[in-house]
Amino acid sequence: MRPLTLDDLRELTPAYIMGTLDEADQEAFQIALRDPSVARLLESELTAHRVTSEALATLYSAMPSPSLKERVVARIAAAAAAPVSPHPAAASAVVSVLPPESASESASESTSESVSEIASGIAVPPPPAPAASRPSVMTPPRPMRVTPPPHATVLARRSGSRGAWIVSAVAAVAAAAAVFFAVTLRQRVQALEAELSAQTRMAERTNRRLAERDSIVSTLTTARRDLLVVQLSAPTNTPSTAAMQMQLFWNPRTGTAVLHAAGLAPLAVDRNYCLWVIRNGTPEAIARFAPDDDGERLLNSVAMPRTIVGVESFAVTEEPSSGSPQPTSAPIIVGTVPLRDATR
Amino acid sequence: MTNAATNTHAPTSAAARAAEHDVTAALVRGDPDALRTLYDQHADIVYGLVLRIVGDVTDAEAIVEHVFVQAWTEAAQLHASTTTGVDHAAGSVLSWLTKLARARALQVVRSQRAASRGSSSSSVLHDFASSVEASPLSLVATAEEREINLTVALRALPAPQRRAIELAYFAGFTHEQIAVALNEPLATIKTRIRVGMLKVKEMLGMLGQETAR
Repeated sequence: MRPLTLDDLRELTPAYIMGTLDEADQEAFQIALRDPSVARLLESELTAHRVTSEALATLYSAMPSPSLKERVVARIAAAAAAPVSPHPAAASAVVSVLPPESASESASESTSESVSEIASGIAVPPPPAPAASRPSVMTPPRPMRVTPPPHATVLARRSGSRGAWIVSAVAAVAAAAAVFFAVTLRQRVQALEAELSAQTRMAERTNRRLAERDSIVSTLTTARRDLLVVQLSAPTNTPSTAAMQMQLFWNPRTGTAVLHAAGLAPLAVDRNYCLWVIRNGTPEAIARFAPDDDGERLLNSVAMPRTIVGVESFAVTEEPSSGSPQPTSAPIIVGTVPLRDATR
Repeated sequence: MTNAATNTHAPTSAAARAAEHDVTAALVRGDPDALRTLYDQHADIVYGLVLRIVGDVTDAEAIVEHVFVQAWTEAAQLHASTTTGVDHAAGSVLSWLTKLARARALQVVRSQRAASRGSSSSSVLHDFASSVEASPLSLVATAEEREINLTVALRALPAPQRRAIELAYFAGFTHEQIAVALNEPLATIKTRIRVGMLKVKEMLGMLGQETAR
């Protein structure tokens, strides 16, 4: 095995992270990484490819059929009820301890394992009833062995004819096969319907997102030179809210704005933040909003005045969710129209 | 080598990370509700990834079922990986799940390739390359902002780079197999994948992708 140069290693790094190196390169790469100086030189490259690789894993989302969750829950219930004996394959199946994503599968090219063998090599007993009736790859149906019913056997012996026995056996097999086929088909149809439904929902969500983005882009671009950016931040004497800030991208041409707030503290369920515009000395409520889990909020198409004349400042206060005609608490963050814009 | 700041799939807020930690801790204690929570949070991504790779609903569900059962049986390792990952940095539950799911899914498709006419047969590789490109889950079928950003980043790549990355990531092809499938020199494929992956990383940074799951 020839030693790898640094350039070689850099070329191989993505495949190392993705677990797609062939056996020889994998071994050579790992040997090279044992050298701390090499590992240091490759560190940023390894990190970059790991980040991209993890991002690629989230590229597609689709909802599995609703029954899958029930099957998973049934299996863990069965596992909890029965004593678990460790499966020898379980230890080797742990991918999380391996640096590349699927290094443990490199030897599987030459195998012809079925999906069920691959997917179920774990230390959990199969569920008792529900999964047994599901002809999935996890629990493949056992081959049917048809035993003629006792009375049929007796009748056949009495009549001395094997024909009747064969006919009833064939009929039993055919009936079982028909039932099996019907069940399989029904489950397949249900799975496809669920998949279609999930894809439709995703398409609808995508369309909604795109419409929101279009709206934001429209607000920002149609303002041309008139776009006003108002920065709101905590007054200097309130360090407890120093992390809170907001940008208001105001398009007076369309009378709309895009609002982006960050660092918002969580609120009680019956409270909201309220954005006020102070115009000619009078506050007018413009938008009410609550922060998301990360303390942020992005609102598009916020209705705003079509002129900046008379607009003195903006402020955010905490108000009851039901709203209030006037501010009932002290401003948390405040901002003014930039001077150069206020003179327009 | 990875750290929390560069792991795009680690929860972005301390609160989210703490919540994730609580869920895995509950898994370790044997709380079935924790697994339900985990499933509700991540099943769509895990299933989407696996379905993209295996292209069959039944196979994909079987693998996803396995992955979540394994999360249950190996909860301690999952919990530990969210605290201190393999690189002594905190990973995310989603990262653990997708890594396991992808490995399983690739094992399945590699076995299927091996069972057809040999995994290195050029016709088999061509077939798989075509199926990867013609996947019913096209790039435009993605929904979340994270996916939109990633889609934008991937679409910005020259087609040959994108194709090579897709074959490596979603079909598990080695460099040699991709070279055969695309009728390109090996060195070209290596460069395309590396340059493309680095570009995607750079663009994700520019788009401010910080996946919050």
